[in-house]
Amino acid sequence: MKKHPVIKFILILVISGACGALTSFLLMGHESAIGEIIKNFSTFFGSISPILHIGICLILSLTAIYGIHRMKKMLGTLTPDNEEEVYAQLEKQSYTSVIMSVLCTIFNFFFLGSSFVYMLDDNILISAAATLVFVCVNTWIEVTQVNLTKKINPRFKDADPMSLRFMKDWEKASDEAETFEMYRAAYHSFKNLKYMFLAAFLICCFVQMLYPIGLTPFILIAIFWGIHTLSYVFASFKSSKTK
Amino acid sequence: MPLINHLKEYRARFNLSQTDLGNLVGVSRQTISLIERGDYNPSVTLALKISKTLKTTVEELFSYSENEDEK
Repeated sequence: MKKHPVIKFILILVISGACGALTSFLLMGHESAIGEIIKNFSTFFGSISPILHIGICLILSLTAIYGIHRMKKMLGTLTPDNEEEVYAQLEKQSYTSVIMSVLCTIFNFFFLGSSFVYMLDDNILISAAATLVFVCVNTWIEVTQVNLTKKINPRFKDADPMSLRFMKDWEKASDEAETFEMYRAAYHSFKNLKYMFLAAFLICCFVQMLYPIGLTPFILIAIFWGIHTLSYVFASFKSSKTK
Repeated sequence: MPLINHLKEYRARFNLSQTDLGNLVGVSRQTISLIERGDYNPSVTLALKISKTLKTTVEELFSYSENEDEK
């Protein structure tokens, strides 16, 4: 299959077409019912949005804080004999805490944004206050995490997480393998995001058929897709010019 | 990964930890760990630095096997 990309492409088209036809057949005549379900869910979501906001962000923040606490404890057990093992565990734990902290930030802003959709004064106030609190908590988590990483890897001692040049300083302090891993991860993320934009467009098209979501999601996806691709092209052009 | 390395054995001979070797050649402990696991092929400069520190040659530390590639 690897040697025949055309066959693979045709197969994907046929499978996608068959799935689309099957879904359309199953949903035929149920459009209004599905529209009603989405509408009811939306109203329900609007009413419980602040509770979800606080609940989800609190769980994620606490998980990240617990992770940091475990990392500090692990660092305390560090001896020259077990350092390789402890460092490997620390790296794993650090990834979990970073993911939790990033998820918390995403949910935090998602719920703040969603509170404006329903325009309920109390909910907006609660969400705004919760956002402020969780932004502070997440900043503390990130700063603590960076400081712990600096303890593990003193090369990064000059990178200040509160500085605007932090990302640049971090990249500068990285050695060749770290830079390579960073760039590889960035490329994977670029590749995956390209598919995500396409999937988001298709999902929006599908939802639009059942529930009017308007032009805004399409415009936003198009803008983000454009910025995403152009920033990659400009960065690679700049990099080739520098070489 | 067609590149085979004997870094771990050589490091053990000198009784150096990953952190120590990293400090001696100017890279992080993670980089030494990545090289030992075969997840990262070092640059020529770094390979030369490591071999010089471990008082050996690059060929002794790293070897390329065509057979491994075919697997």
